[in-house]
Amino acid sequence: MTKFAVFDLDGTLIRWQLYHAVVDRLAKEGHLGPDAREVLHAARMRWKRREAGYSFRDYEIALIKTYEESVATVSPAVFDEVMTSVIDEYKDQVYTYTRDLAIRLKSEGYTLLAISGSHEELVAAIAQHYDFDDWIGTRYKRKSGTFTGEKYVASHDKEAALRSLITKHKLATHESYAIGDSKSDAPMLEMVDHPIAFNPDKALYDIALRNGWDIVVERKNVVYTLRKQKSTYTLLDDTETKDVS
Amino acid sequence: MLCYSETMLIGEGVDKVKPDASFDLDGTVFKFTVLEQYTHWLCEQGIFRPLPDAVLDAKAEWKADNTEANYTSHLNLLVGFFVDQIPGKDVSTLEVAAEIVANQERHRRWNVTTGIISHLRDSHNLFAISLMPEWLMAPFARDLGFTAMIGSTYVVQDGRFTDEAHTIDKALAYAEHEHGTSLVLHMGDTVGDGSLFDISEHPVLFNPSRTLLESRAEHNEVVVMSHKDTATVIRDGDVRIFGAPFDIADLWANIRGEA
Repeated sequence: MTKFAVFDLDGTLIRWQLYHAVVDRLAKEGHLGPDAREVLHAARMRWKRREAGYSFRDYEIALIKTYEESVATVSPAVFDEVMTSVIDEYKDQVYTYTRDLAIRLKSEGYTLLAISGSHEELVAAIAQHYDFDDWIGTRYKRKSGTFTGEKYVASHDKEAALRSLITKHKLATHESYAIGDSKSDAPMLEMVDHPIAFNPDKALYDIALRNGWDIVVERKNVVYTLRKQKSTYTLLDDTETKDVS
Repeated sequence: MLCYSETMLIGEGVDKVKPDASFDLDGTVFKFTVLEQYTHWLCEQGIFRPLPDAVLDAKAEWKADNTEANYTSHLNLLVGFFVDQIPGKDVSTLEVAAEIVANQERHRRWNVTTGIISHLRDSHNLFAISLMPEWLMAPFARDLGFTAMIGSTYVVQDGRFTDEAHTIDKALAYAEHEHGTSLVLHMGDTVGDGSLFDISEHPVLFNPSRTLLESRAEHNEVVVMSHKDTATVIRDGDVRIFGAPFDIADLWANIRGEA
């Protein structure tokens, strides 16, 4: 049985959210209706101003709603063109910790997997760029040159998504890694021997603290590895972080 | 001939009884480099000529590699372009531009830092200390309720900037304004803050660069890093994690080692 490392992509490997970038660009270019750009700008500003009760998740919901209300009117050819330009812009804007971890584990024989809520086509492009072995993203059904509006969102249940890849490739959770940055990644982190909460939001932070998982934060060009030792978390020094496993 | 700083009321509201707290702006209060946003805006408006490819290429390289050397290289090119564009520009035009950019970008702040600023506002004199030009700092500092601000000065003649500018050593510049009470806190994120860390009672390295961390290693100072809706305080290798909305009183006590 082969060991694996499964990565979330947006916010974990890639510094920004690819899905957001694509929807934003479609809106800016007028492909999501006349009001979409303004609606998204207003939602983004509410989040950035940290208006009471309005979180990043609320902004994300507004973004998804705006996209899905118009997706059936978007030409897949336009989508593919926008996606290509977004990939070109963002594919190398990555966190060095997760990029280097992926490279290292690949060289050690791990099977690399990606599970993301982004468009399947975006996930595929990034996964191939970083030499991943398999990946799962959100599938928006295409038919006769249009999007039908139907979708399959694997990231709603990352545990099930990971189980399907484990079965498909005959993988073992023993000695395997899972890396994610938000609460939706917790179920796949729970499945492996080496869970890493990377730049976690507060919800995942709390789960990581309860479970004693490693927490890694990358800010600017510094990587902080926080590890539970006895009852408290301490900062590992550079020599210890070279052996995070 | 007139230094720009002399046209402004700097530190008018300093209360000589209160202790001081000082803050770097770029990267410590704001999540972006103010001078970069300002320069981009001036280029878009045709007040500056278009950004040279060398600046854009350097930014692309930094985004791809995220090394401090690439960041510094990009910033140096940007500042060089900025300084080159300034002579002869109308002062009031650039002041208005600063107000517009501040209004557009004012929300892009670190909540931890602005929380501490708010928490200390009544009990401390708050100094904004930055290498950016004072006329650019002014609307940002005013918006945050700073008591005083210290930045680089540019010489003005007949309502226009000359080619003469004076950057500052932060601690020396602060020393000219200090009034006999202690500097309780300095928060900063780069090696340029080192001289203020040396003289502050509670130096806080906020989202520090690697060069800053290495340069301050022997001082064993408090590190605060913030991302998403969290703030992590590291003191003597021990870790305390805060979630938004931050309990700033608790966080401030933690910084001082009293929690």
